Amino acid sequence: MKPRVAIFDMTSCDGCQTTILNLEEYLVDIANAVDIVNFRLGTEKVSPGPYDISIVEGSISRQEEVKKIKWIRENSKTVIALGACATHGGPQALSNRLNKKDIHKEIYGNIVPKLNSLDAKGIDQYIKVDHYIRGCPIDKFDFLNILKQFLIGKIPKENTNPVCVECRFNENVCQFMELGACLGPFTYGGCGAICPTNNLPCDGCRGALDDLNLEAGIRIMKKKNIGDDKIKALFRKYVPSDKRYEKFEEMLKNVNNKT
Amino acid sequence: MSIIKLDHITKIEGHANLYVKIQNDKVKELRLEAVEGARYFEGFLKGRKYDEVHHIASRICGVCSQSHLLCALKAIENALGVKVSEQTTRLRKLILMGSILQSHLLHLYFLALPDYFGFESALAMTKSHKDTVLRGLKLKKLANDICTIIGGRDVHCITPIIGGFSKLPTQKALNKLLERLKESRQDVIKTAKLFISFKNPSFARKKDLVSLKSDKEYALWEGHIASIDGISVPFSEYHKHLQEQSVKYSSAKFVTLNNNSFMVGAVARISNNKDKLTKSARNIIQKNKLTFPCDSPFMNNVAQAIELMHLTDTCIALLEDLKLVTEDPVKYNVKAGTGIAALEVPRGTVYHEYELNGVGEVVRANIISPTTQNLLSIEEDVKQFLPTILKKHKQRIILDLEKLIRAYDPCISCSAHFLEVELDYV
Repeated sequence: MKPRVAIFDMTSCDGCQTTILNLEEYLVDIANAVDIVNFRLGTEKVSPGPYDISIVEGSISRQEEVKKIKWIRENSKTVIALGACATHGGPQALSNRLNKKDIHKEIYGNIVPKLNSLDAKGIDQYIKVDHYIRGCPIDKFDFLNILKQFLIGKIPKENTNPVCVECRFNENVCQFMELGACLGPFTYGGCGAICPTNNLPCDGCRGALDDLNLEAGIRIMKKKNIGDDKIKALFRKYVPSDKRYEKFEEMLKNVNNKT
Repeated sequence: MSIIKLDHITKIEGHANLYVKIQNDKVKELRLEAVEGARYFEGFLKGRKYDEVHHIASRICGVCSQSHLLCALKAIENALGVKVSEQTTRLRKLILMGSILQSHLLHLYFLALPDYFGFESALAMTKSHKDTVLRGLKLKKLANDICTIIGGRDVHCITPIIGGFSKLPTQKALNKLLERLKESRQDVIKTAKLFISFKNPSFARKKDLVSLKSDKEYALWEGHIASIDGISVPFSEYHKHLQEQSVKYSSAKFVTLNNNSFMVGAVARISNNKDKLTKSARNIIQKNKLTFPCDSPFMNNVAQAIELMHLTDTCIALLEDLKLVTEDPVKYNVKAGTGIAALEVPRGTVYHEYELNGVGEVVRANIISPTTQNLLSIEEDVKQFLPTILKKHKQRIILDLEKLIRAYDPCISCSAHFLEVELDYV
């Protein structure tokens, strides 16, 4: 029997699901290899679990989503987090620092709908996640590669190289050495260094590497005359809630004290 | 009391529910509820710098990401007084049109087509309707490639930056694109024929149809706000005419135009601008004796298919005499100011407005996406359409309602700030 694959979405822009649908030349093959039993953007079919693989896009931002993600975990052999919202809470986690009452009043005026909203968080804050497909948005070939590995029974190994590795392969000028304002050295690779290859600095959408020397990185940035505000803004864009950036303010203070 | 509930209307972008209460064959209560988590873009864009706004704004919606990216970019450039080159405008227009092609093709082939053929998804049709599905996939890949070649990626483009592009495409890649666009014309014609051939419910409801309009061209990139009922105002005065209203049951706000419901999108655009369509697109309208302006929401699919023709031929024209020159983004100074921009994007008109302070930080952001403008019209259409189908079987009613809602091609992720259908028989 073909493996049953379900695609779920929580709070997101649907861009990562759209990226999957943008795999035009492989879609028919994918549909032949797996039984897609739940994909709201692509099909009406909603099948009950259990599922072999559940792919979840979006952040947990509502009470209802907490219940749903736990149900998904209970009914799935493998759970994959798809994209920056599912891995880290995504750009909407930028609103976690804001006063929700003020924002509600500003956006909705006097009639505030019942939102049941929570701080936006990655799904691994609520359940165990078996694999992460990173990025804002994901890289479609990264997705294809990981899916293939699961299908032949391999547990995919996370690419733990920084973005810099692929950036070098592409023979780009190093934006970190030139400008300092590039998150390539801090960030999980696998995207083909797509932003630096298009002459823009990496903005860290795939999340911070485990073995990161963040303080050293901040020090170099400061040496390149990048202001505190700019450094903060860089680290707080698409994955502002990354745990490894929690002590960020403290480190910035440390660096400032030492210099 | 019996309840019909359409929880999680599928094959639309984002989450929504429709709740309907029926008593003695009459609709007593009806609510279109957006149920997607609120993301507060207008809130957290405050304090961000001028040069990062458009890339963040792009994340409002991944289905029409280029729309928000380009509109935000244009608004910021207006705030800073940046005038871009003719080549930059042309390349950005190509991204915008590529993006509308992407979204229309996704909607027509993936979301609407299975409804007409009675399948759950396009992929389930690969055995019985192989040629049609493969045609849709091929056209969509071409649309993606327009965005990838010029914008660096098919979802959330990278290269457009203030004043121009961070990286230009190669002439060779553009030439290849031109060739493929020319080859795709026959497939586009077949697509239009297919969608015109489908029988739709005869339902229509009179409403105002609103879009941008321009003397120069079929208004997508620029124009003033116009409607078939005679509204004609500069886009910069949008806030005087469009009212955003919050409702208790929806995280998406409802927008009215001078206090009335109205429709935006492909039907509205063609209704207002049909004389500016390419000859090929006008031919489709004439040959099939289609009438615009048109009050049937179901015609939105046909209108999108006509636009495919217009967009394909316009992209061909834009590429045909484009001799790429190497140029850097134009220089500019950061200063305080307010910038407004309006674009026609897949589902209608989008407005972005930003106020910047002296160091280029956003102090106020206002974004009105197309779906929020259509929500009230969808609600009123359902109110009028439902009584005409109430005698049908419950499952059939739900299917028809879903079809109606999907015809609007609603995108709830962009309107969310939250769709399921619930029929409640009292």
